[in-house]
Amino acid sequence: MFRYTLRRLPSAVVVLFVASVVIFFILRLAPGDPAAALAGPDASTATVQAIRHQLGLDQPLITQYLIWLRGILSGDLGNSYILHAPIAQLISESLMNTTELAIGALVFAIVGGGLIGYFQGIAKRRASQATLSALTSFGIAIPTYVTGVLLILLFAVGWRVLPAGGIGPGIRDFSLGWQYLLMPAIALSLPTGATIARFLSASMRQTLDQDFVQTGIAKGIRPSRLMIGHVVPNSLPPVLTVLGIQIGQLFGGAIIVETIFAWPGIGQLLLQAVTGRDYLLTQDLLLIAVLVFIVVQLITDIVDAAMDPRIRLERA
Amino acid sequence: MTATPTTTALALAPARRARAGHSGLMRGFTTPSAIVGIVLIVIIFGAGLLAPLISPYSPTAQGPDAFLPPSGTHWLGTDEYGRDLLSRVIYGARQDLIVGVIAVPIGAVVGTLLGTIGVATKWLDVIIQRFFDVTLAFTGLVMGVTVAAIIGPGLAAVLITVSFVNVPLFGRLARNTVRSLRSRDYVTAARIVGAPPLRVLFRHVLPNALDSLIVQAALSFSLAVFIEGAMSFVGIGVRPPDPSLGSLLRTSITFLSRSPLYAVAPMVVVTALVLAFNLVGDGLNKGLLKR
Amino acid sequence: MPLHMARRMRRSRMLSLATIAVASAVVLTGCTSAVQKAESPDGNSPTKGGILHIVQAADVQPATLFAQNNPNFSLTRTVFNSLIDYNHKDLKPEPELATSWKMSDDGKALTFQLRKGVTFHDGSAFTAADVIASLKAVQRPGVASQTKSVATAISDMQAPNDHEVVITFSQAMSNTMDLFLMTPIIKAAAIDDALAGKSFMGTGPFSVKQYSPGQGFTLERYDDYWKKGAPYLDGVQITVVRDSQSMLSQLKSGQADLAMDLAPLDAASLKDTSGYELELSDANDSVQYIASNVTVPLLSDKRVRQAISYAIDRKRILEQVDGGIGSVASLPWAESSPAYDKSLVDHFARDLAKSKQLLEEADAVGKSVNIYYDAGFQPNTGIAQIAQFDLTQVGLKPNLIPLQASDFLDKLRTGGFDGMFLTGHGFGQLNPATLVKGAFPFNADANASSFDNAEYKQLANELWLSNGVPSKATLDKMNSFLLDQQFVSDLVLSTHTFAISSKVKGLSETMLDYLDLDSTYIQK
Repeated sequence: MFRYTLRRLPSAVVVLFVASVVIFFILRLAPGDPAAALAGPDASTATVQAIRHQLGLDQPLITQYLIWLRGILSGDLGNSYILHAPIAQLISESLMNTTELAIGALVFAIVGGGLIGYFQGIAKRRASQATLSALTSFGIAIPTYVTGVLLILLFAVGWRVLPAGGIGPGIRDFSLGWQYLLMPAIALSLPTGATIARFLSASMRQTLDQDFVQTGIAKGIRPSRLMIGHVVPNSLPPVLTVLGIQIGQLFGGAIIVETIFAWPGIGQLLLQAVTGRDYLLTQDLLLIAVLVFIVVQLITDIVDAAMDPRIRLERA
Repeated sequence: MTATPTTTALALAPARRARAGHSGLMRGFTTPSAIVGIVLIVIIFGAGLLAPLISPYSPTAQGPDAFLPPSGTHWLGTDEYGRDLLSRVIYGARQDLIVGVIAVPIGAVVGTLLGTIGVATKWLDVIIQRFFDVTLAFTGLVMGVTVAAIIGPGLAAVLITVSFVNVPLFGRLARNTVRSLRSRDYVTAARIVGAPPLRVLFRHVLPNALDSLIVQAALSFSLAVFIEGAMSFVGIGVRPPDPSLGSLLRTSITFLSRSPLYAVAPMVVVTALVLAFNLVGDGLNKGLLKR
Repeated sequence: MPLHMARRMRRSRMLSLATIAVASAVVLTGCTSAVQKAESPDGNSPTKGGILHIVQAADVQPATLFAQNNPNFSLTRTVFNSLIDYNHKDLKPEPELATSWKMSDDGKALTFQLRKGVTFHDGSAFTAADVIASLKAVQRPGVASQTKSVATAISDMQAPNDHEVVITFSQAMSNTMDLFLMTPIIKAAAIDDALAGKSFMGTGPFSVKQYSPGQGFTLERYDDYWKKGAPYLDGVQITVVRDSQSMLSQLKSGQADLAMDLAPLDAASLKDTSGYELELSDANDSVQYIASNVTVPLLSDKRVRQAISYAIDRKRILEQVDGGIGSVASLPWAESSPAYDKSLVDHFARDLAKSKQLLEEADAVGKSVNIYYDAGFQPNTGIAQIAQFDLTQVGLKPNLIPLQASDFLDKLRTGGFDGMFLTGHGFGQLNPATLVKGAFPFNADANASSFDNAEYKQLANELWLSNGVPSKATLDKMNSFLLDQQFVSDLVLSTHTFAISSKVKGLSETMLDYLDLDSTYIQK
């Protein structure tokens, strides 16, 4: 097992290296100049040149790439050109905000999706099953930007009970912060919740067909106890697998929700970094995204291999 | 076609399977959910296709009458520059039609080719797999942001993004399907009689992978609509003054209190489109599984 | 301001301005002018204490502290002071850190007497050395300022004592004082730190307690502020909220007391909302324009540029994009400018027949042209769409190309647009020379239009190198030249806005739109 992991590592490192090259050079292909944005309006060419020099942007691309690489390898992500702050600090702050949003969404998704999935799983009448199934199809389909605007329309414009955007005091004062969190978290949770509902109901239906359930009924165990104690736990594994994938997608989907609700998360940071040609910040963010993906892939592969010796042998 | 008896006999097997596959697809197309989906798609894309004929006004014709309420002359009212909203929604659907019809097939063909070629050549496979890894690491909108930064916001950026996003989706699917089909009897037989590997691949294996690729295509269309909307929503998609469902929705936020209806039509249409393609995908899947 | 100071200032016979603009008439129904409010508080005595919560769309950009840059509006005059302030009506200098000044008759030597007893936030004394160091910083090539041409014309600076600075210029200029209005005085040893965003050592009413890049500032009342009794507020919280709608919602939910520069239509929506007010900056220096790269064949013909100017419906832009805030314009000048001429405001009133005729004469009908704009600023998208439609009406084929800010600014600086471009400019409110020497679209030496014209350069220099306010004849000549050439077509003269809760009183701003919170208070 350990040897298998070791064998997969070099290829992961290669992907990461190639990604760093691609990210660095593709970004420099983009027209625009962070120094121009930094110099502000009406700045002369001399001013912009001086800023380019300060930032080291007048050095050859290869040198700039190597400096970046050396920084990363020594654990220094550098400073943002536009935001004048260490990138590590910027990323950790916005990642905190995105995590708050993602956890909020996850709670809604698990509770809401779990309940709907459960009732869809035990529903006997065709009509109620079809209704719940339509509901989950709808939940999966509705784009987050539609949900977001709809929520604002309902709760911030029509019935003025929730703020239309911003993070507010966040978790520092959650008695107020939750009001800001509510709408973006719900908007983000919908596809995940619907997916959970769909997988849970399908899995429960399969479990209900199994012998032990029939035995249980025959033995006279109370239906509610049978459900909570036996059917649901036995139906969970596929749901947990899909949940793992969905958590990754929550972070990916956050970029849109963050835009609608002006939530200062990692997606907003990326948009801002790319728009301002904040090269270092963009490079670091994209490379981290690739790194996270590769690690997840690696773990998945290793788990697969652990469970299936054929994979281990074939890829030897 | 000059074929030896052996190859003819061999070719029969996949042909029969292919028929079985198509009847599975047919079953899929006739499930209730797929029918609902297809009807929705026909209505919305039909309107988009015929936009120049059926839309009451030019989608970019402006005037002093901003924010007119819905009326007989403007069914959905007008926008902030006095443009007819119904016409803008219809032309917005047309953008999605363009993106779906152009970008999804490009992504599908490139992805399938790459995935399939990889199966035949081992060292290429490694490179292609890593390429898929890197592409997959960029979620749709992150890719969109990067592409728009390089070539500038616009429909072209959307087309490239949607194509790129689809490459690894089709690529991995094709690769997995082909790998599992390769060990099937008729393929092994073809290889034993000495048919060249690529020929086996494209003549015998690929046609049988078609079912799952078609299901993926339906889902990819839904993804295309979603990404176009998201990119235009964030301001890196279709350029003004051309309308797009995403940019309509984005602009409507500014006017939610003044004219709530502005947001409703693009919301309904974009949701219906994504839903429709999902329903078709689900239906096809069911049809194929029942085989 | 104590009366004797004002008198002393007048006696010093500085740059007497020929034209005196009448009080601004750009006040809209439902909107209040910041100056009116500051001059006539509602009879209540100011409440002391409280924190003013400000929301703004972009983070402060410390590297541009010496230039006018919108994100810095909330910080520059709250943490720092400059040597002088301007009267909003006639641009007469008024004392700030300088108590008086004297210009030599040839306009080349300027002596400032500095205020005594002023301290920086760290307690150290403010002296002539800080003034000299700050001005030297503006001269550096890497530091941005729209009055740089004045700063680089400084040939010598001397400090006879700690409270006197003698500045010698290589030439007399009509906009000399604009430099001293614009340059905040930063403690000499802390200038580099300020430009790098590491510390903000000024003499202003508030000191910086905390700066979280990308998120905002926490400012604290400076108890030893030189203006006795000021400020009333205990502190200021500046928060970056990137979206106009969110800023509006924070204002309405009481999370914020002041929203800087809401999107025009959001701002206009406050006109009918009780409990909130929209204050318009007196500077009136936010001008939206469309300009041409004159090296593009189609646009090299001034008849085409004039036709474009006649075709665009400025009134519709004012109503549909700016929510009625501002006025239509054909020239860059605000009413405070000596170059302002009311009779020319409507020079380019929409005239489709004339536009078409000009295009036909120039054989330009049916030609296509690219229009670039900075899509990061919402109103640009609106103006671009209206311009696109209007130009289609007269037979051109315009093609809109949205760019991201860093790309747009880069092309603006290098003249890299192969067609037309659309954005905003400032500096119509100060001395005209600052516009033609410092504001990008009009800079006679190098501009985004690649308009390299000997006559324009000569006119600009005439305007600039005059000892005192340029003559009416010079200004008239410049105006007719700009109207005729139309390498820049000014469309709408709008202004920066401060949306406030009605509890906020005594808000004021400088002629560069910098918030002045010296006498601001929050009514209980």
